[in-house]
Amino acid sequence: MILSATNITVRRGPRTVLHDVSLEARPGEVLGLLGANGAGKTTLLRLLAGLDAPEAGTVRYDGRSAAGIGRAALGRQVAYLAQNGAIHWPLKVEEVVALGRLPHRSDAATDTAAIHRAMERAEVLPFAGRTTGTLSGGERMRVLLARALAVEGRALLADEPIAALDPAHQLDVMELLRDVARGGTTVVVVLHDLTLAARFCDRLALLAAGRLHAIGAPMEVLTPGHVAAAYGVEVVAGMQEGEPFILPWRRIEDGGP
Amino acid sequence: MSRFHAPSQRLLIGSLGALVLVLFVASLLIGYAPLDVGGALSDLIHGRDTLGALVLLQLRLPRALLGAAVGFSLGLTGAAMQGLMRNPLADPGIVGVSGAAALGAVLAFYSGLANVFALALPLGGLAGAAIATALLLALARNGTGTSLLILAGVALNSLAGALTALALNLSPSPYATLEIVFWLMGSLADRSLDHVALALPFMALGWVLMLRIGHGLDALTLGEDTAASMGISLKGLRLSATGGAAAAVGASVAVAGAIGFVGLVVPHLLRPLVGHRPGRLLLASGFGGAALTLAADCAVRLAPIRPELKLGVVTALIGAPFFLALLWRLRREAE
Repeated sequence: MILSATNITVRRGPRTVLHDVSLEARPGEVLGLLGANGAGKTTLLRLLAGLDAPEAGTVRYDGRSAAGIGRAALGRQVAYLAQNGAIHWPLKVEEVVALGRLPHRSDAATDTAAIHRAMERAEVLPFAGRTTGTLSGGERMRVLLARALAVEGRALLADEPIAALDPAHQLDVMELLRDVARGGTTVVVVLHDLTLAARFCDRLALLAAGRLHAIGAPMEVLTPGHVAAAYGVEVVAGMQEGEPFILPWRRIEDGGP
Repeated sequence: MSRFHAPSQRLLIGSLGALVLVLFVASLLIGYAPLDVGGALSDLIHGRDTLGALVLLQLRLPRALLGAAVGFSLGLTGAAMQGLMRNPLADPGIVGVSGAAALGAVLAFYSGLANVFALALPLGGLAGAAIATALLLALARNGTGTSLLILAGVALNSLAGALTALALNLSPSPYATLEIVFWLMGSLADRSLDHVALALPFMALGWVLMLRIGHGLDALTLGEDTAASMGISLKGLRLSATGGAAAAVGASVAVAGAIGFVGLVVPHLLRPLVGHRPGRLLLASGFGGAALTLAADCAVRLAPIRPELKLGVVTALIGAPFFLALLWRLRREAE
């Protein structure tokens, strides 16, 4: 599914959160959304998920509006993984994942297979029978990721899915997201880790103060200049086994380099 | 989805339904006048106008029917409100409609209308509930969020409570005050089939609205954003939940007064049995509420205390310590 945002503007009171942002996410690719806190990443992701409507501009799904597709159909096609997702009742893990099938109301065999696939991919099968209250933060995040995978939609939008994970699981989840994309799904993911963004995303969109500062291939976007402008930090960058790594090194003081 | 553990869910609903049926029959059998229920039933069916038939039709049946319907409303509404709020402490009164319904009935007392014709009381209650409901729905239709809706309910309840106190304060005679206070305690005694006919349509409307939102409440377990992303209309969900709660609880309070703790305790009790799924809790809590209310109303009549204890007093007397015990156990489990 091609997700396209065109000339998006969002205001919250006097503040402009997003200003004239246009971008496109395509099937088969992972698009990373980067930017400092408050740059508008989550706002943009929510718009792409159809959760909010912009003041100006349009969001289209394969050229169609959310209203044209319909709320229920959009729920089957676009999976959304919220930031710091909550689980309000102590359900069993498999039941949380099963909620991903709620938009479908398909036959039991189809749902059971999708739930199992999702749990397998997110590596939550070992604790499928536990209640969510007994999980660690990282385990809970993977359960919620499995829930979003169980939708088996044509697009997956994830807001900081690796923030609570240990390094090994960060790598696992990023690889998983890339696999999902290679299967033909459109994946958009909000990230703060520049190295993982550069390694696992096909394209990056860098937001700064509500504007699209740069978009394109990771190494075109994560130049020292762009990173300095968007985050106010100096980076250390290099190559390891033919792949880039980028580490934030020091804050750029006002009037500094 | 209901497919996980669906057989156990059917078993639970079946058992609770059977329990309600047993307690309903028990409620018909229990009363102050000695009554051959079989004979009375046969008289009723054959159109014989005997005293037994009259007692069964005019006294026992309305009481049992209202016990089941009011209990079902309170249990179901409690489960719906707890699911909507994602908070186990929400109760049916939280939307503010019960306070308004009580105020409406009290005004019917106060104005003397209740002495002119018997149905003035429940009609006053329904009018109070309707006004509060209209206010709530206007807010919900504007897209007001859940927490703001609940705060509006709290404000409505406080205002209704204050106006009820004012009516008591200005009450023309101590007898009127006593009558109002007793009515507010909640009871199913001396209700007629007219009461049933008046309240049941509103309750049924409320039940239909609330039983429809199971999927929405399940989705809401993961928060409002995730639920919305799954195609759930949050506005529709809030409208159904608050509108349904208002109709069911408003009608309940209008005919039976305020019966506390059923809507709070029953969902708590049944939640572990449905795997904590808010959607599956709805119907189970309805039956559980009906069973508890019928049982308490049987206890009221069996207890050797006259005048009869008020039902609301008994449910609170049983409910509050029970609730504390439940919290105590939860606390020990958490340690």
